[in-house]
Amino acid sequence: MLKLLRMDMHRLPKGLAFKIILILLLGEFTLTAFAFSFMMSRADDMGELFQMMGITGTTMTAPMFLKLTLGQLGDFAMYMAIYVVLFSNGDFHSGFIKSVAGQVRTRSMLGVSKFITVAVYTVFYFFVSILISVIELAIFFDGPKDIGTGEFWQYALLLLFMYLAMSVSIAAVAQFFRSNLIGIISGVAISIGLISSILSLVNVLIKKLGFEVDLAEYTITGSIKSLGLEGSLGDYSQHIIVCTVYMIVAVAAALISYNKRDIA
Amino acid sequence: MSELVLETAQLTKTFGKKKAVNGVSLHVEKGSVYGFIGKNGAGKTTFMKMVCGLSAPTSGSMTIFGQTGAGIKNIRHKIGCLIEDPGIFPKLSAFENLRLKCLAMGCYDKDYINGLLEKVGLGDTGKKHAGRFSLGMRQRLGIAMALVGEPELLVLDEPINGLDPQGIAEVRETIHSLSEGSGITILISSHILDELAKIATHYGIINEGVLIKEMSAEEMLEARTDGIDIRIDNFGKASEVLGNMGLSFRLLEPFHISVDADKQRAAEINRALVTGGVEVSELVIHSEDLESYYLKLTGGVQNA
Repeated sequence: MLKLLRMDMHRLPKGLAFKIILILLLGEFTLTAFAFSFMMSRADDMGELFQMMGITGTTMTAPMFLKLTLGQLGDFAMYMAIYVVLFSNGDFHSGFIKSVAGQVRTRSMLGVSKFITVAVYTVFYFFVSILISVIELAIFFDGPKDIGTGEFWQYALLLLFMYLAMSVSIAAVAQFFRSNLIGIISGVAISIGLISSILSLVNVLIKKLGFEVDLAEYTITGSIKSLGLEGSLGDYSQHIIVCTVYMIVAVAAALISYNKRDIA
Repeated sequence: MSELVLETAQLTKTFGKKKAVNGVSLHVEKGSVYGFIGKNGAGKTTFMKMVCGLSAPTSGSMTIFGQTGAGIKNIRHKIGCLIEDPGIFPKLSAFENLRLKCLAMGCYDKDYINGLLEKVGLGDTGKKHAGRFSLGMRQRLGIAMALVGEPELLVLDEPINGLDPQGIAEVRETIHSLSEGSGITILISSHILDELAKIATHYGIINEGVLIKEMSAEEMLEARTDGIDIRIDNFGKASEVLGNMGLSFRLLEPFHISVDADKQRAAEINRALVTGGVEVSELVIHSEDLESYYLKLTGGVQNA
């Protein structure tokens, strides 16, 4: 297992996509920071918009910037989803899996190794994003204010956990279907909020049947979006449970698939 | 019979209602080069995948290095495989590709990787991406990857398919040196039967999922019949004469037949045809090659 993990960790940064995504992320955050610095200079005209975005006051703090960038899914989540799928299915795509799968004692360990590597990638990607945020805040605002506060770290760590659940679940879906296409489509659909829109539609239909329910609350993306800067850990326990359940179910399905299905 | 490295008993793999491999009982001796012959879709790859642990048999059993059932997973590391394609990352160099495999097998060492590259003739490829390799080089890299961890059984599925003559010769030399130099047992499938005949010590012929013949190269030589190709002027009369002699034959082209008979009977056949009113303009004695033998066993050209 540790041998496979060493192999996957070695392969993780080798792909061209790994570097491209980091460059795209840097560009994305720079644009976001620039746009908000411009908007904040005209705060008087932006009152209503800022209120909708949850921006309070006239100063951009680190927690607020985090909420505006990582907390909204969007491109950050989409890039992550794409890389996770490409990496997870790399072995199948190249045929490398046939060279390795026959020589390991338990085939599901190949999957476990991938999930751990994807989790490491998510943590790396998340903290690189925070680092970029700090730089952007220093360039476009008055520095990374409130970065050391409990509010910031609680939000950041909860967000990181939810992204971990998301990336591992996407990796599991990609490995279950063994298809880059299905993996990327589902990853992108989740990250751009398409699933949330579909669920909203389902909510309306359910409501017509006389039941009141918000299905988005029971999704990882819904959990990420509903995560706020205020509130205690207990307030988000339902979301933590939802993310954990998704992650466990997806990983279990992928691992069973590894063990039971033939390597085509 | 010497020690068996691989033995299967009634091994079967079913996809839906189709039996891709049907009750195959095959025996591979230690140190042999076992040529696995069959047309496309005959079940070669499916069989090899089962041996390599990539596919689970529907029924039947396998004994590999004396282990059977769940015990096989204890000796999986002794089997190296190259199934269908080399399984390489095209954006990585040969060294980096091997490094990944070595890390997975827990035997990473720079000198070991360089040694493997030298062994398959890729020692001078440097940082060149594997995606830019020729087909022959890719196949040899695939063989090098299969060799990581010093396997005692190497399973090679169509390693010379699609290669140019130079590539075929390179891969053949690599396989030959592995077999002769390292004593590795090799199970190899190929369509190019003449090439296979140059390296195989044993053969297994599979057709429509069924192993129809298994024999050593010596037995194969003995089993192959001589043939006599004859140019004639009258097929009807020749057919009657040969029929009376109890000989089977096939039509190669109009007025050109091939008779399955020992070369010692050439003069007798010639005399009988001439006596029977058939004009013989050419008579050539030849030994049956592996391809002809295979075609005869599997039912002719339409099955090749």
